[in-house]
Amino acid sequence: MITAKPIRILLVDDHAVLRESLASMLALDDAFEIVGQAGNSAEALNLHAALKPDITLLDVRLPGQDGFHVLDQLIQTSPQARVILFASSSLANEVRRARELGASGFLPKQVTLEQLSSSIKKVHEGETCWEHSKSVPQPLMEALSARELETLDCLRRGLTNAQIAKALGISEHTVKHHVKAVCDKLDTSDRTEAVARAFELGLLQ
Amino acid sequence: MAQTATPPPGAITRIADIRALSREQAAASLPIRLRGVVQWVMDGVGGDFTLADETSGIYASRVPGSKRAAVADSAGASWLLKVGEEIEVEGVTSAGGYAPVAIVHQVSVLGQGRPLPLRKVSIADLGGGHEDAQRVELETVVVQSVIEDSRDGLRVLRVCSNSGDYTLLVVKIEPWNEPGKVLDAEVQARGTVLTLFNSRLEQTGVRIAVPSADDFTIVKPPPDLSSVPQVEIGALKLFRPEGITRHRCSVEGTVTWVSATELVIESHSRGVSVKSTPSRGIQIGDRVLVSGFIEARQPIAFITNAAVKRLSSGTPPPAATPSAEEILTVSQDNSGRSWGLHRQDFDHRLVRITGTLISELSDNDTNFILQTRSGQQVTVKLASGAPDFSGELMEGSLVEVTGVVTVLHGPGYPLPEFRRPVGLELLLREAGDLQLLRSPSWWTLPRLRLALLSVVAVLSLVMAWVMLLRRTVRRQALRIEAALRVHRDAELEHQAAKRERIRLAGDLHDGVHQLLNAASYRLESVTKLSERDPAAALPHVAAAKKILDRSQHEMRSIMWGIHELAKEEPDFSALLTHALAGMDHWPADVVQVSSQGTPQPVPARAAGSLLLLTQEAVQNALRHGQATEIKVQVDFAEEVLQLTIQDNGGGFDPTTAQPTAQSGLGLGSMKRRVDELGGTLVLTSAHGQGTSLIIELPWAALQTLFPQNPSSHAAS
Repeated sequence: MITAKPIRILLVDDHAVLRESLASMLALDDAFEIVGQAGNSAEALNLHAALKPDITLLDVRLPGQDGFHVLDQLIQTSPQARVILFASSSLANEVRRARELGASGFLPKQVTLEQLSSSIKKVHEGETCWEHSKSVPQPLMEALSARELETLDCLRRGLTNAQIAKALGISEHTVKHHVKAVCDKLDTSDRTEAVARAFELGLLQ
Repeated sequence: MAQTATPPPGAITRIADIRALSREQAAASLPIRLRGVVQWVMDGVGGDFTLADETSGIYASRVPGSKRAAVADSAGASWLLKVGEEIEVEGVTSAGGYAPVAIVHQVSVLGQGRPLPLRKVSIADLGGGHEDAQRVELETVVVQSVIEDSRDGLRVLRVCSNSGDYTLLVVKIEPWNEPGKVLDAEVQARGTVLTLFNSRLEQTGVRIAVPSADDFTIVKPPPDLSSVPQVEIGALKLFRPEGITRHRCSVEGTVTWVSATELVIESHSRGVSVKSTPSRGIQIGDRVLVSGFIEARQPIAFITNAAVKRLSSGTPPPAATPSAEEILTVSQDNSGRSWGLHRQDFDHRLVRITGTLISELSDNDTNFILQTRSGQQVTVKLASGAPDFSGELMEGSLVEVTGVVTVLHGPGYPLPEFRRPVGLELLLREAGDLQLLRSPSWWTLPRLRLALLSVVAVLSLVMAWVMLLRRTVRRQALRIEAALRVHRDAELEHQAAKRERIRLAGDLHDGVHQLLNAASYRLESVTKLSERDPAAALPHVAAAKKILDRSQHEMRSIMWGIHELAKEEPDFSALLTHALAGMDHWPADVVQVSSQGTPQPVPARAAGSLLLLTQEAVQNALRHGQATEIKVQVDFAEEVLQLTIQDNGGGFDPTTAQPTAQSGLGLGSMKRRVDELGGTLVLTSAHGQGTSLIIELPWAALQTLFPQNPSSHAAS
């Protein structure tokens, strides 16, 4: 194992301090080699093209184009790329979306080194690794349907019902229905409060 | 004997001398001593009497208490005086009632006196009053014979004066049981004149007291009733060469009106009133023969003291239907220069007139006034005991009345004696005589006035009510407005608080959360290294500490933001810098914040909203526009607070840009929030030109929205 070639890793996270800390933590394991670090999507795409890392640890939330956008581009340019999405909290719809876009795994940022190591290694060996955030209560996570999570995401961006309907390709009536369901499940009185509560619960990031 | 007694010195001895005294002199109780013959004695014990001597006659009254003894003393046998006795009296004078009288203290009966000469008089003479207490002889026709005093059976005969003045009558004969014998008879009577006077001692009439049957002679018995000359109603008292008879005439006609004392008959289009003793059984429509004396003191002659004989029964003649003017004109023409132009007139005829009731008939009214179409007013009288019309009659009713008309006369021209017709009076007989043709319009003047008054009253009430209501509404509106403002303020505050909460959650997530994750990784590294190479772990510990310090700083910074925002007038540019600096996961130096003008306080709630807006705008610029330079500029201008966010990103076409699940411009939401703050948001962008967002909030609008905001709760 020791003699084996270390797994070359590209870290993409806009938060420099977090990125540094993560890099230094991963560096403790000889199995890993941090070949590059990127703070935004453009850097990430450039470094990936230049370094061809084995594994790309990609923060979902990035300034400008987000992690999913980067993931999409990476997979399109190099379909063999192994990308693990990395987020403060992992939502069911995000995990699903990551799968659809061709990610190999989804990890919450609150992982231990052990978990992270084993996940990276599993992915490196061609497996996938899907873990949900522990911070989000599982029942709530499951309670909110994918559509409702999408609706919540739209609410966070301040869209009106009509705009949400257009964005999600559903009727305004259905949007209303979803918004009400979200509010009920999060035990909030209105949409704004639902968004705030979702943030606090880690449903949104 | 009494005559031997010496008369008191200065005593008046001649009756004529007493009568010559003035009223004041007579009242002085001058002594008298008279000798004369008793002419008349009042019935009953101690009655007054009249005394006459050669000079005149006088009324004598005996003083109560003294007279009886005196009479008894002198007469011995009887104290009652008898007519024809010669007596001597002593006493005093008195003013008396009408003429001076003798107050008698003592009477001495001297024996039977010799008859004194009689004066022949006419009735006209009696009106002069100087015949008072004198014995006279009168020749006349009896027009009425009635029993006046049933106890003594005195028959009172009224006599014809010929001049039209019924003066008086003759009394005191033994009862007659056959009044027919004297009525209309020419009689001769002798008696003493007794004057009737009123409370002012004015002469009102005379009576002639006839002492015995010897003094009353029927000169010519009354003509037989069947032989009484019959005249037409229209020719009752016309000129005749031989003069007008003092005796009765007969008139035939049909009864048109009957009452207890009067009836009206009509014949050949003429009518006349007949004053008669109650004529029992006579009804309207009866054909009657009336025999009575013609009386013409009134403008139109009538018949009095009539005997009424019913010839046949029938129906009254049809009512004539002249106009009121016609009735008056005919009477005027006949009495004026035209001298009887018309063969008929309408006085006392049955006529039918139509007119409007102009005085309302109350329950007690027995008459009312009718106005004909031409304006002539007619007084309509309801016969006593007439049916009650009042229920159906109101002022303004159009009625048709049928009744006996009387033409009223007033002074005429050229002499007042030429009486002139001035008005009409109509006597109704029964209910059928009054026909209601048309009820008056309900809108009589008083009702109209009342209605108008009530309308005005209601109107003013309504107006007052409306004014009151308007004032209440205004007050209520102000109250509601105030409530709404409070509500809107609360809503704004609520929204602002919630946005601030989202912003804080985002800040925490972006900043502290990431730092804590980083610290966690460092500590993970420390754990890993502590087993094999503790020394190598130290830098990680230091790093972790540094990160935690930074977290703490971040937390403190967030807390500062919360507190600053909680201030009434937070430092807006500082907050803005702080808010944007907190987003430190962004590429360094991309966002530049600058401020212009003198910083002015921005209401906390507006500030919170603006911070979130700015953060969102910056995020959009980074996320969608790939900007590498974002300028955020705050301009505290005179009128407005201007916030400009300008980037050098790719830009977009705002006219076509549609929000998608991925892009989510959130522009609409931004605009709405700026609207809420009373400001404007202008976005300028084009492909490849970057984007510029200018938000302008007028200070005035902010003042209105957040007046003297006592406290703000930017964070909950």
